[in-house]
Amino acid sequence: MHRGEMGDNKRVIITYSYGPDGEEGGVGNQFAEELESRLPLRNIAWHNPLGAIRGSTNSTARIIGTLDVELKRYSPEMFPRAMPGTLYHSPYFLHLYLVTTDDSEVYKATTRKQIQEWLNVVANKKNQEWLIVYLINPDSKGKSARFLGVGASSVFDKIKSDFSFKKERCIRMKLQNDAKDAEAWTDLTNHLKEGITSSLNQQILQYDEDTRRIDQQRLMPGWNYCQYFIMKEGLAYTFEFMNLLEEALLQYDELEASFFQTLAEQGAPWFAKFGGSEPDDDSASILDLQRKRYRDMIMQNTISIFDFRVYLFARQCQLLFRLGRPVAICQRAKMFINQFSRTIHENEASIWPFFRQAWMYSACIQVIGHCDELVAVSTQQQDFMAMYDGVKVDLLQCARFQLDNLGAACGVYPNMSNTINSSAIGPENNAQNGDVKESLAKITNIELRSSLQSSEAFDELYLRITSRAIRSCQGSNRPRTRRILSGDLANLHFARSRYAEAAAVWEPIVGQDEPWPFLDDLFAEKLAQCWKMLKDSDRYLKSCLHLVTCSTISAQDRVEYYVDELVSTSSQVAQVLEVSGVSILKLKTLRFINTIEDDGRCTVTLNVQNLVKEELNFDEVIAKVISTDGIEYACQAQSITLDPGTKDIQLSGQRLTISGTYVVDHVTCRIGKLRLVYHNLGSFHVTGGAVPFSISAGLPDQSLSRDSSSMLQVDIVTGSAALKQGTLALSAPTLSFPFLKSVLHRKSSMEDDASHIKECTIDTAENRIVLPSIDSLERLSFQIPFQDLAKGMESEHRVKFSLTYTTADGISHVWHESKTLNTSTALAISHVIVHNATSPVIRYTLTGKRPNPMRILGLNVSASGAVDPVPLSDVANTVLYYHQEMPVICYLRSKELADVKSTTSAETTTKVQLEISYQDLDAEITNFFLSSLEKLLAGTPMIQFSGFLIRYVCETLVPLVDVAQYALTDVANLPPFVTETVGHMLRSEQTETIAKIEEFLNLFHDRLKTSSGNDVRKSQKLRPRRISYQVESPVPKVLLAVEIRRIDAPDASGHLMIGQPLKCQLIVSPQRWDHDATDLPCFCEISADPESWVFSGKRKRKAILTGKEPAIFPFTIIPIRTGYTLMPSVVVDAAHAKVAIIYHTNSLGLTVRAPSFTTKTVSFAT
Amino acid sequence: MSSNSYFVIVGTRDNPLYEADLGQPPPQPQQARVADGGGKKDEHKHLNQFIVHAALDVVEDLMWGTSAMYLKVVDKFNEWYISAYVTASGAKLMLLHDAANTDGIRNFFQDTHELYIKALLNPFTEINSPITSAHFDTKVRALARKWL
Repeated sequence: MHRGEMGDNKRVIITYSYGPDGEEGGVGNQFAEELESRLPLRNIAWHNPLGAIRGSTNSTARIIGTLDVELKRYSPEMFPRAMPGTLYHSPYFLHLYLVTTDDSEVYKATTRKQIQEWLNVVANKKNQEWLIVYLINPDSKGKSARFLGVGASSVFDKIKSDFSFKKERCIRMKLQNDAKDAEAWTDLTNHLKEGITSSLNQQILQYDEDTRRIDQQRLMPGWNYCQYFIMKEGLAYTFEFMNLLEEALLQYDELEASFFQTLAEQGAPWFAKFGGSEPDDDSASILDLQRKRYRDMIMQNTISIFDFRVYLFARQCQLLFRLGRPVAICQRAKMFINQFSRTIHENEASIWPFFRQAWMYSACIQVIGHCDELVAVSTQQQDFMAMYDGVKVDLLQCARFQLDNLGAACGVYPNMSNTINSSAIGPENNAQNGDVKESLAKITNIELRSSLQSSEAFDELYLRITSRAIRSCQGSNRPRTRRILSGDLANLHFARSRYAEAAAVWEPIVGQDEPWPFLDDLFAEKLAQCWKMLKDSDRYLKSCLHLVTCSTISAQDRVEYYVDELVSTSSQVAQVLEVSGVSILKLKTLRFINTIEDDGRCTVTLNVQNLVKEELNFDEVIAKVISTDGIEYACQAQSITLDPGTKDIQLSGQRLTISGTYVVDHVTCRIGKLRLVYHNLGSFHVTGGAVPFSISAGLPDQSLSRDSSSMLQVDIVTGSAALKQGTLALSAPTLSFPFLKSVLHRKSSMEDDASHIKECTIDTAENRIVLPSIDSLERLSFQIPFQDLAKGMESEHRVKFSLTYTTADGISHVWHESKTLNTSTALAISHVIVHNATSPVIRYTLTGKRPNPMRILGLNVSASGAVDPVPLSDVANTVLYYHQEMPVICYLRSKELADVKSTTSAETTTKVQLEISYQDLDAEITNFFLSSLEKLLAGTPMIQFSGFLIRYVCETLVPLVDVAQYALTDVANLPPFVTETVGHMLRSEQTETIAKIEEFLNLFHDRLKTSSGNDVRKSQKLRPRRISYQVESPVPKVLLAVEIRRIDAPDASGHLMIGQPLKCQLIVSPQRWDHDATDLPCFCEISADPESWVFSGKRKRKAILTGKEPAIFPFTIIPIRTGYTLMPSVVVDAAHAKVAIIYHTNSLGLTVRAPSFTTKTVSFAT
Repeated sequence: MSSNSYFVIVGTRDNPLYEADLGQPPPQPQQARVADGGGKKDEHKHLNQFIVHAALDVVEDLMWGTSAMYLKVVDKFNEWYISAYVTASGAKLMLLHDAANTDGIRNFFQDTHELYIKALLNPFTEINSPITSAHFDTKVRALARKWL
């Protein structure tokens, strides 16, 4: 195909003519050349004269952008002989006559005559315009000037008067080869435009009248559509001349419509035959207007329907082509080809079989090829390209269907079900094989014929066309069509056993979220077969899985087949296939139980619904459980068979030690190497199981009162299980634990106390204390320093212990717990030392500092140096309450002289240490309950719950006991068992276990309803806690005795009279004097109660003591009050550390009496 | 006018909500085919679905170019026409038919649209869920008898 056939050279012709005056000097030629250079004409305004009549959309002026005009030299012979109703359409629109002479004589002599001759021919032409151009020659400028313009104007005026018409058909042009020329030319072209449009409008009106006339005769006998067609086509041609392509197209559309109308009304008697029987009819270009002499045949009434329709369509396409509308061409082509193929089908009898398919194929391919050329040379928007691709797909698809049909007929197209064209196999298939071959041999499209020779060639063409269509689908955003076409493509590969190619096409299509399940099903099944053939088990497994879950598989045998395949393939595949959320199963977590037995496990009960109507055998089902801290646990079960329907399965795993919320994150069901993963199966609150050890912390067992360094003692006591290793971290909001490099620890066996106490260091890593291995029934203690952030404002601190440990069986666990610690000392101790002549006495005061009472178990006083302390109070087994003060008096006896000698040389001071062993009463009760529990459990099956029961005792039972009451009455009362108290701890437990535990606890509570203090104390195995208190008691070097002595002897009664002066002496006598110095200054101050005594003498004195003799200070006091009165007290202050003072008389008193009066009666006589 | 047709309502997520073979099933292809599990009827349903499915592409092209709900015949496939009707919510009513009957189909679509809306008004209906109501089916078939 070449462009020529579509773009016929049809141009408006303007003729020009001039007389000998124009020839002179080539003025005429020059003018023609100049005019030609100003062509084509641009922007011609045109009003459709039919606009109003035909209801044209734009009644306003239309602008014809460019109009190609051909300029021809006039000759009278140039007009072909026109006959009415012929094919001739005059291209002549306008005739020009050029007059250049300015000599009126010449004009009169020759020019006028010539014009007349010219006019005789031209004016008679129908619907053609003429124009006389009077050219003022620039060379004759001077000449005309000489005549003052008279001569020049006279020629023009003469022409005007000679050939005067209503319309202005004479124009004057003055060319001076300067800027003004442009104006003159514009003027001329305007006249040309006017003339052309005028001619056009005349033609249009003429044609319109003619065609209307013929149209009106439509129902008259002898009317011929062809005649009508020719007439109307003339109008179309005229429009086309004028570049009014849309108007021209409209004419053809009207023609097409009227064709169908007349066909419906009258049939087609004027068409000789259907046609299509000529050679190459099936393959020749339907757009080639030159292929046959269509117009002649129409004129002669010999055209066939086939040729007529092809011609009409080709003309439409030609116009659309010139308009540059490939989309419209394709749309029309699609419509035309489909429509006309039906007509061919109806007239199949007159043509050879398969003509229709061959023709349709060729037509589609040709139109596409043609439009592709048009699109290739034009630059188009993306939207436009998408539209073009869209219509192209339709045509390509149509061509492909024809190819399918032909291929099927000659046996090169394999039987394929489930393609979009599966019904397109024509009925011709029934024809004899020989006939088919014969018919197919008639196909003249070389490409098509050769493709039908062999399946290879067929495939090549089929794939080429389909791929092209797929590409266009991509361009035009038609995903569905593309998918279907891809499916067809793969189907062909599949039918030809090219499984790899087929799979490559299907693979990207299948598995997308396809809302039309039937398509997915079709493709997926084929794809699965491909993988099977290709022995690609990994992908085959995926496909089987996909098919099993595909909703449209309803047939039981298919399900069975694919489930079997799934199971058998899952063991063969090389790689593990993990898919999540596949709708084979529906999982629901029913229960999540952390059993409370000592060797208990965590059990997850899943409700599994098998959605496949087939039994499934899973090798393993694993549930991953995640705690709130992000630690993962696994519960699993092996070999699970699931029948269709629902079933509960139990998975079990390692016991959870920490209470909290656990999420069943995902469940993996494994068949061979296929893993079906299901996510988000709910979260559950789980009570953590008891750990096989107990951990406690508090102030050290052995502590010093008034000890400023803060240490925390941590004890880990193992039960029956040993810990291989572990790490411990402590944290508290109110306490800070400084970073330690190592910690000294102490390990002791529980069974025989102090049997193997080892002390060694524990390393720390990342601020976690790395624990050594701990055997069963061992106690590990260590102390770590801490700082109280609250600075003693609070005594209770919440400390979180987090421990990771590995048990003997190698399983590592994590456990953490928060405990409240009391960091205040249990006891406050203070002391007073009282010296006397022989030996000093220490008076301790113990004060209870804890709300819970404690039992003082005993005390031990030890001293270093020359004293031997003898406790005078027996406090063993006394109970000390909160804020209660308890005195302990201790007499410090001097040691024997021999002992003294050995020690005094070394020590100058004596240290007295009070060690009090005590026990908290709640610890005592806890211990008692635990040992009772141990006894009760021994040998019973309930021992498996020991961990839980111990925890119950510690956390629930002990708080129930009133410790104060126990302390007062020495009887521990246990309230009866209430089910609710264990309810939350057993929340997730199985009912039979709950029943067992409740029964046991009932018994336990019953047994221990009341226990006497003796029972409690008897069972104690606890090491008592000890607190030490050290007093530094200096051995005084100087011991002074201070005494107030009365000098005057009292009266016989020993009483003192009020107002009777009492002479006294303050005697400070050194009792011991080991001092190196001989002089010791000291200050004495006597303080007498001023309400009781009148003091006379020096109250304050300074004395120098020499150590040899006592210092004596006399003073006098007079009692002023009766009754028992304390003697004045003395304070002696020796400014030396090693001086101790004994006051003998500071609390002495005496009784003061009123003086006894004797009454005498004297009478005076008056 | 009696004809064979296949009607389908396609939801906004491009999934078929309701399918019905109205009238008699279209003529069977004469070529014998190996039946693999599914019967011939199934296969024919596939063909219908293929055609309608592919036509959805064209509908999506056309639906934005007009404000009318009824898009008339949007595509042809061999001797089959595909008419489409796009509801305001984007659901597409597609009819595969073999005889042109523009007005009848318009009426059929309009009435079916009303039925569809009534079905959606049911508070238990989820949008884009398949319509399984037998009542709906009966009504659609009655409308098909009336208009097609």
